[in-house]
Amino acid sequence: MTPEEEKVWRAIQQKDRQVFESFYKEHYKFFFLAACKYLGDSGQAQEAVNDVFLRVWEDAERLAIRASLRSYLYRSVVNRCYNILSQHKREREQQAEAARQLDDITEWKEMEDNELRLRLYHAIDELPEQCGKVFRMSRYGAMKQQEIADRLGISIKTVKNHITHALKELQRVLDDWNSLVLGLVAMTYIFCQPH
Amino acid sequence: MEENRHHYRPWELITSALQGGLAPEEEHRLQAWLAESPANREEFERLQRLWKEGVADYPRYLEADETRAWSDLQAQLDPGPAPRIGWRRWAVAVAAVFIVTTGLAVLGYYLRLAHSVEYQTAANETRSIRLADGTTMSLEEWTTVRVEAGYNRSSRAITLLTGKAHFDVIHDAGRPFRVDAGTVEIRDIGTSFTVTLANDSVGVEVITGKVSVEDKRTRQTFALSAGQAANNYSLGGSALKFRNAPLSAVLDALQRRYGKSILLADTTLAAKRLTVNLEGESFEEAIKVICASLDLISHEASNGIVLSKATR
Repeated sequence: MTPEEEKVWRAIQQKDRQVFESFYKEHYKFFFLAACKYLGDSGQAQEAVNDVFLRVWEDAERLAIRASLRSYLYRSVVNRCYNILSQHKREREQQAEAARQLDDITEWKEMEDNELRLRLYHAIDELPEQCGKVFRMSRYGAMKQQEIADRLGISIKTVKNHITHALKELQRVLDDWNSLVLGLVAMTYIFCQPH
Repeated sequence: MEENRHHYRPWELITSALQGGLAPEEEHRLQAWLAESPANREEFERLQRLWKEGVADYPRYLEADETRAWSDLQAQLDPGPAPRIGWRRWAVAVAAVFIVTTGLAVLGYYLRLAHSVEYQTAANETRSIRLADGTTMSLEEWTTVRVEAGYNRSSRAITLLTGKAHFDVIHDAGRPFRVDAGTVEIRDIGTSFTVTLANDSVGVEVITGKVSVEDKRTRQTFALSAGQAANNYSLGGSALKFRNAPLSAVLDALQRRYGKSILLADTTLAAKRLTVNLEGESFEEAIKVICASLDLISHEASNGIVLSKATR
C-alpha cells in the first residue's frame, strides 16, 4: 500500500467516519461503473458497492489488507457481483464467467480499463457547454447533424466543429493515459529486473 | 514537411463518418485519405473504437450518484443504541393487540401481498389508486395496470399492460420502484412521471425528479429528467394489428385512430382477448370484425357505439 492509502486504511480501522465517507465519495464512481459492467443495472450496482463497503466498515479491524486498498475493494465488488448473478440465475454464459477465477493480470487490466473509461467520461463532463450538448446529442441521442443544428439553432458547420473538438479532447485523454500506462509498465520492468 | 502530412486528419470527414452521414463524394475522399498510409487507417480505427465502445457506458456513468449512495450506506452503518430494546418490547405488545383486534384485516393484507392485483379502466373512466407505500397511480381510460406480488416488500414493481398511467412515487431508496411497459423498463426512487403504452409505441414523460429508462431489447439505459420525454419507440408492430390483445387495447387504438367513442355494456368484456388485423378497414368494418370475433353486437347510442354480448 502507498503511505497515503495506509493512513486512510488505519483511520477506517479506527472507525473514522469522515475519512471513510470521503474515501467512499472519491472512489464511488469507479466501483459503481465496474459493478454496472457485471450487473447491467444501476440500482443493483449501487447496492453491490454499498454491500462491500458496509462489510469492510464492519470488519475493518479484523481485515488484513496487504496489497492496495483499492484493488482489494475492486476484487470484493466483482465477487459480490458474481454472487448476485448466480443468485438471480442469469444466462449460462454469465454463470460460466463466474466460474473463472479473477487472476492478478486480468484484474489489473480490468481496473485499468475501468479507470480509463472514468477519465473519458469525466472529460465529456468537462467539455464546454454547447460542445458537450452537441456531442451527447450525437453519440447518445441518435440525432443526425441536421437535427442537432436545427434543435440548437446553429449551423451544421458548428455542429461538426463541436464534435471534432470533443473527439480531439477524448483522444488526448486516451493518449495521455496510454503514455502513463506505458511509463508505469516500463518503470516496473526496469525496477523489477533481477540483478 | 513529411511530418505535417502525417499529422493531417480530415476531421470533418471523420466526424461525419462516425455519425454515419457521409455523402458519396465525401466517402471517396475519406477512402483516399485512408489509402494514403496504414497510419491513417490505424488512426481512423482507433477513433472508431473510441466513438463506439470507448464511451459506450456514459449514460451509466451519469447514473452514479455518490451522495445518494452514501446516505443509503450511512443508514446501514449504525446499529441501534440500547434504548431500542425498550422500543422493541413496546412494539411487540402493540403488534399483539393489533393482530388480535384486526386479525382478518391483517390476513387480508398479507394475502393481497402474495398475489398480484390488476386495475382496469374502460371508456371515459379514470381511476386513482393509492398503493401500500403511499405512491399514487392515476389511470386514464382504457388502461390496465398490474401491481406485482410482494409490492413494498423489497421492491415495488408495476406492469403497465396497456393504456396510460401517471405515477407519483414516494421516495424510498431501499425499495426501488419500477414500471414495466412493453419493451421498456422505467426505474425510479421518488418522482412523478407518466407512461403511455400503445400497440406500436411507448412514451415516458417525467414531471419531477429523474428516472432511468431501459430498453429491454438492447439493454441500453438512459436517464430522463423533469420536463423531458422519450417517445415513439416503434415496437415493430402496426397500431391496428393485434395478437391475443385485450379488447380494451383494441378499442383504445380504434378510438384514437378514428376519434369515435366506443363503449362496453359489460366491463368484463374489456379483458377478452382477440387476434385481429384492422389496418385498412373502415371504422364500421372494424367494429363488425371485432363483434364477429367475440360474438358481440353493436348498436348506436347517443354517446357512441355500444358493444354488448350477443344473446340468442
